Amino acid sequence: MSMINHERISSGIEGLDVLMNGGIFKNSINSIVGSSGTGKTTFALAYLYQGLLEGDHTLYLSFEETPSKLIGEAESLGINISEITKDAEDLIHLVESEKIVEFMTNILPALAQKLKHRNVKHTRIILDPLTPILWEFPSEKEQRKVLTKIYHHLSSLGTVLQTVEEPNAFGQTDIGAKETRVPIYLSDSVIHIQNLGLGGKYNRTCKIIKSRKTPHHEGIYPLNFVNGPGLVIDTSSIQNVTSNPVVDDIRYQELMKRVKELSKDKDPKKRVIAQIAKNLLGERENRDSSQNMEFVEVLTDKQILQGVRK
Amino acid sequence: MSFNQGISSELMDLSHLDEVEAAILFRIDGDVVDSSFKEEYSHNLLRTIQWCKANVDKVSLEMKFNNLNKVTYELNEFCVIFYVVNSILILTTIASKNANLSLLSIESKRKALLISNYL
Amino acid sequence: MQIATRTTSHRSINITTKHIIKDVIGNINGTPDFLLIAYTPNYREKRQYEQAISKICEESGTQNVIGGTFPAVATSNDMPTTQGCSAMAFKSSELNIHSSVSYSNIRINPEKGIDKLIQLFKDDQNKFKTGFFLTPGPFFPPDAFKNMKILDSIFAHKFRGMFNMIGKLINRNMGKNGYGVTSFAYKMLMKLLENNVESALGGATIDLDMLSCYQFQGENVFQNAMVGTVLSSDTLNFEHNWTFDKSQKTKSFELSRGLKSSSYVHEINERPAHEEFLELLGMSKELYEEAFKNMAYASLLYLSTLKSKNQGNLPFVSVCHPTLKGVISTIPEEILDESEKIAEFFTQSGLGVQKSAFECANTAAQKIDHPVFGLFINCSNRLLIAGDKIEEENKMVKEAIGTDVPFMTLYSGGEFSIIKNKPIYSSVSVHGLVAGYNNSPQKNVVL
Repeated sequence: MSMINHERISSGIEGLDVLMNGGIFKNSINSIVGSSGTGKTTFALAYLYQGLLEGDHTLYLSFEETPSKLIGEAESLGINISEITKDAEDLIHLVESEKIVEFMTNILPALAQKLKHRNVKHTRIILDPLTPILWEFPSEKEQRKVLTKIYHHLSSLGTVLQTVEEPNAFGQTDIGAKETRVPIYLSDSVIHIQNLGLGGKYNRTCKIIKSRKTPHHEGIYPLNFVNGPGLVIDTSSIQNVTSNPVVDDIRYQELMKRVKELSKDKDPKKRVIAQIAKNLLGERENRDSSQNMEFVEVLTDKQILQGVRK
Repeated sequence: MSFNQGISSELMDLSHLDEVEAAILFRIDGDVVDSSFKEEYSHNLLRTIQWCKANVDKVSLEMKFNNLNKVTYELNEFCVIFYVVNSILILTTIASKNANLSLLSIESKRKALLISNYL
Repeated sequence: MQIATRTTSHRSINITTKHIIKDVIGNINGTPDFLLIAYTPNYREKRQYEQAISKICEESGTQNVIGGTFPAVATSNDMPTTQGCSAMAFKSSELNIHSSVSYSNIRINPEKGIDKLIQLFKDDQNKFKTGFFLTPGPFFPPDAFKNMKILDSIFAHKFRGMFNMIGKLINRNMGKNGYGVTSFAYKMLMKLLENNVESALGGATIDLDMLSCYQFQGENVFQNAMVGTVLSSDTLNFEHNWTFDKSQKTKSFELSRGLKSSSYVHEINERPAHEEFLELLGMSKELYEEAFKNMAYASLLYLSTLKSKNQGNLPFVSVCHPTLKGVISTIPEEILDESEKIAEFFTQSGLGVQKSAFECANTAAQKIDHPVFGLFINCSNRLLIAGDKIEEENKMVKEAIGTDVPFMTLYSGGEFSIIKNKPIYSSVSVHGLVAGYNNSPQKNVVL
């Protein structure tokens, strides 16, 4: 959907960056889907807080709750936004329901353009929740049209995180419902959170159901409310397995892409270099991870690469 | 013993059995009424629990239509026994795949009957 | 006569014991004469059982207690459980229950152990008497076959003439450690018969995981002992019976070569026993090994029977293990003679198991005008076949002996009886004792 930059940013949710192999892509559209009470807004607030910590520009658009209520909610979980900025409530903009259509179709695109021209640094944009917007555009066709336009503007400005309400009928949720279909389809990554109602570690769960252009961890992971970071995804079950640090490393993926290109090059010397690199990389499974890491570092070192080119 | 304590205690009895990992009392639509687990967390168990929650309504419907008291599934590393408590509740026992299903079904049935007595 | 019984279930042995003290001991007016206590093996630690039994002795005021651990227990007034305790308390001027006896290392010296029970019979002058005893059951911890494998694979094949000696070595070696099947109990039955004991009922404690089984006597908790007592009366009759599900007979096979001394069957149909046994069952070796390689003990739940002089069909089960070439049968060595070699498979069904339990109780109860209580030793393999239908079986037994008659069922690892001077040693069967008056309607049962 969006023009994904390969740089990643931290989501601010402990554990999520591990599941997404290093964080969410800059300038991507990310959806948090879950039914009421699962922790979507806390997710959004933790994302906002991380942005403030990193000195990012932030744009939090709330379509339901007042800024004071949201700040209060964040503080109750130990996400102390007011410690970082004096005017915490000014960070959040409440869009009233009667103005949603006007805001989405005219104001927001114009605002995005304006900010872009001002060369505002990377912005974390939060749409919480997206659901009232979807209600204003009942047909999926319309939803697609509006959202595509908005996402186009917003993703060029920064990284979007939006929360989407998942319908919950008699205890059973439905991720494939009409209400969630279009945003899921248009998002670069979708994180599904659920409240199983079991208490303890099995109560809230998190699953990445979509992540464009990057491998991610499959599976369901416990999601806990923790005072301080707000939300923590328990990834202890994968920490030991995760990993092949080499394969997971973005530089490795870049390198493989480059090797692939070289192997198709007309220049036979380049093809030989590609073959050598392939052979060396092909043996990575037999080496331990520290050696692999070293190997990737060597191969991605600019000076060495220049040497190879020469 | 109050109604809630009584049900909790019966579920804890079940989850204390060597091979049982979790005992969950579901409403037939998938809502959890009460549950008990082994202390240590298991990631695979979470997957199975989620499967149970997502499917308990369908299983209940099948059980109701076919007049079944007990249904057993084997999935991932576990076996799952659904036992009818009454017209709206299902007792779900999740045990390791090597569990002795005969012994387990005796206790599941016993607990289902005891739970129905609390209601 | 006062008899109180109850089955209670809880994850904590302390709570279970509290319930027993309140609802069984508390229901007897005064100090009970005798207590039969059966816990399930899931509480595991010996210390837990010691504390529980000690508490029961303390609260009841009697040391005349016997019991043990069984995978499931049931009584007439509660549902069967696999996590709890069943108990039965007696107080009566008409029923004499002798001070219980015990003997450790019963596998090595079964004859010596049973002498203690025989002495109780000799000391009793009452008209009607019967013995009741519990023994350790089949017990094979994960390393049980390690030594056996060497004996089996090297000696048994190289020195064929030494089969019997090797068998004895295997048996003795395992017996010393408390391992093995319950065939030693047959020696106890024979010794009882030699001493003119006319009737007795016995059962083996067992943990289906083969991790731990305990026997209780007084405040003692044993791991490898016989515990027992003698019940006698001048007015109360004791009627014994036994049966098994005979409804479905399938294939027959020949026990071609067996180690008489160890119940170790070396050849079936003149082929290596293990191989032929699996073939008869239609099970591939690969599948069998995959299923059982991590288990030291695995009975295939296929009941076989062999004709025997004393008891007609002798039901037994076979213990296969991927490391062994032969098959360990549960046939006592004294029965495994050269004359009877043709065995038959019987397929067990849940309904058949229920019907046979009813038949066992009903036939015994028919011979008593007014049953007062019942004791049943039912095979734990039958428990596994019946599963949650075991509750139905309990109801059927209740129907058979009378809805107000208390009884207790222990799901055991071996069932033994002496019925009318005949030893009955069997597997996958139910043995029972119904006590009551004939033409003398006097009973005061506390339920």
